[in-house]
Amino acid sequence: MTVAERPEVRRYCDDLLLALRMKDVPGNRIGAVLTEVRAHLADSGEGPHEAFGSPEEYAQALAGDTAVETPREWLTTRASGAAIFLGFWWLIEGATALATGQRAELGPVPVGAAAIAGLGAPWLVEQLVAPAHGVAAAARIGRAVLLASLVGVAVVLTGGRWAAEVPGALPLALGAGLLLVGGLLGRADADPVVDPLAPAEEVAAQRERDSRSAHRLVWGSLAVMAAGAVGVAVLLDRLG
Amino acid sequence: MSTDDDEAPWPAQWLRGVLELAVLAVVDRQETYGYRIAAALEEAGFGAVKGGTLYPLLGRLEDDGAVAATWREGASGPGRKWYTTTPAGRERLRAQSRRWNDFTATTTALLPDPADPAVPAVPTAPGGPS
Repeated sequence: MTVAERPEVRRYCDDLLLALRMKDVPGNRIGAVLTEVRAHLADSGEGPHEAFGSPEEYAQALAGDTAVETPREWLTTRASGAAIFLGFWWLIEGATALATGQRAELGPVPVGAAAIAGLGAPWLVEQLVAPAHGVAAAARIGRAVLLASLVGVAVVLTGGRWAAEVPGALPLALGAGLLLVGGLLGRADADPVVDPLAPAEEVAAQRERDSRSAHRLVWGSLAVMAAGAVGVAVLLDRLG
Repeated sequence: MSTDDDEAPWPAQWLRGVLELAVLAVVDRQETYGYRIAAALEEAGFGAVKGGTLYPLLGRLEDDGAVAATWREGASGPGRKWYTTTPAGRERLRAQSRRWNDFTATTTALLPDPADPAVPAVPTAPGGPS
């Protein structure tokens, strides 16, 4: 049995991989770290905890603060969430109107709700649950997020009066467009864990395969959720 | 610092200050890899330097451009990452060695002379220099 096949080493490497992923360490770096861990254990004959400490401690020593998102990354991710939230809202509004032969309402309330759900709520939760993680982002954009959330609350509370009645196709198209934008903003390039000694063409092929799988998963999930949400909304409207 | 307290001949805070310089000096002798670096440090009297301390330090030296690394297949076992000093790393080693020598000279000048009969003898830690 090689060192890499020993159960304690396999378990340690699995836990270390997860801990490094949680810190947003790139896949090629993770592959190098795991290979180096196995090589060191094979040479030294030590157990993984004895040589490297716990997987979490070792991941922290390797990654440091690299997991802190930049303000741009933070905003992009949350903007994606807000766009998807608003996209679903308008998609359901438009589909329900078309299915029932009525006109749809298009107003600022869902925009305010999306600002709260997509920006303010995640920011608040991060400050309460894990303040250290988003320090860089919080320091720079915290005020802007708070302002957007307050405006969102005001819009949700008072914006109903500005809603206009429009054909159902309009919010349906806007919702589908926003889902597309949200999906594109939130997509992540595949970042597989790769053996540092693997040939470059093999790594490129693996990256391509993983990218295709990830995109299929994201777009497939969005399509299924959109179809499901529209179906349930239409059903509820007819039952009501 | 994850050296074992029982095995470490020096206080951890001393090692923390000098380990980077020591690693750079070992890598500068000849191209080498992690386990060999740890073994060379132990042989030199630094005690057991654990992988959890050594590899993050090597990573920082690599990020700083002080060492360069190449992966190679092991003859009978997993692949290894071989390290060598870069010109910038050698310059850093020279500059820091000069400063370290100045620092130890300054410290030595300040401390009481161990040969002075008035200074009580301190037993040498196991594994440390005699």
